[in-house]
Amino acid sequence: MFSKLLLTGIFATTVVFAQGRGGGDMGGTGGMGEGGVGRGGSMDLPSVAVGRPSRFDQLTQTLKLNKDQKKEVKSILDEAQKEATPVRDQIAKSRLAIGDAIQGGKSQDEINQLVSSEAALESQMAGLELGAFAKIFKGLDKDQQANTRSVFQMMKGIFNGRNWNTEE
Amino acid sequence: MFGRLLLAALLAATLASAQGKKGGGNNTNPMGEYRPQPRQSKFDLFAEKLKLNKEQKDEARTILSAAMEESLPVRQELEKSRVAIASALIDGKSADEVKKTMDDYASAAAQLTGVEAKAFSKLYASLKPNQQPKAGQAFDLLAQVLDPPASGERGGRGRGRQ
Repeated sequence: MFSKLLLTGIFATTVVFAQGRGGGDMGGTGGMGEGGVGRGGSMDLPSVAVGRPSRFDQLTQTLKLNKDQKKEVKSILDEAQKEATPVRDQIAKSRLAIGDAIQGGKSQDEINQLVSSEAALESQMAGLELGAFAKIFKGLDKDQQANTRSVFQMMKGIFNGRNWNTEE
Repeated sequence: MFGRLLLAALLAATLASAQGKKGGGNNTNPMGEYRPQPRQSKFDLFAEKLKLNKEQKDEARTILSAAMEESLPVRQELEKSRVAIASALIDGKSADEVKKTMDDYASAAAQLTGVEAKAFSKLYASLKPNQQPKAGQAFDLLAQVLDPPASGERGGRGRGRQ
């Protein structure tokens, strides 16, 4: 049931996302890219942070969390952030190593090896993000669980920064 | 008490003024409405890091467009894998079953990074010798260019990118 709900939503999002790109258009000079205001959709599209609520506020509002649930959600995400920090650092190093390998003209085999190591770290990070999501999900009641699609999306990259609750 | 209030108000005013100057002007339109300063696009940041000229930027756009197209089905695989991981964890599946979903994710992630590496190799080859030193550091930015968050999202694929 959970998978069905999410998959439907995700494919809808992916299709819209692909259409937003206009079939791969990069929004060059004169296109929508230069000087626009928005998020995603085109490589050239600058984004603007306009007084966004924090992630915690978004979670609280979306899921209508009660006091105990708020405490629990915060604790789950704080804990996962701690676990994610060394993984995040390793991913950054790993990506730097790939860039350096390309720059240093290393063989494709060597690059492939670095790519595999980086992917394993990414998988570990996804495990932490989704592990936190699963814990949050289990602590919700049925009505709240039906409303978790955007929360699921929010988990992607949530621990990329130093603090899950802020954008950067 | 009043002194504290006054100090707080002064501080707030100073900060607001400093923020207004940061973007090189006051952020208001002729109607006096506040208009936020657009941030630099990820592509611009990437191009700036590599010090690309106009022609190189055009070439980079072409290379990255192709990479974006190529990565689309892989991104869908990644999304499916994320759902599978979450479902396995929620349903309390065995460690082996969870591991399988995470291995599938790693496999799709490797494909995506492979696409990025291929695009970056092409871009790197098009750089002039004076642009090449330290160019490798731009690889991390490339992922951000190719991985704009879909609506409602803030993060990307879960990399150390902030």
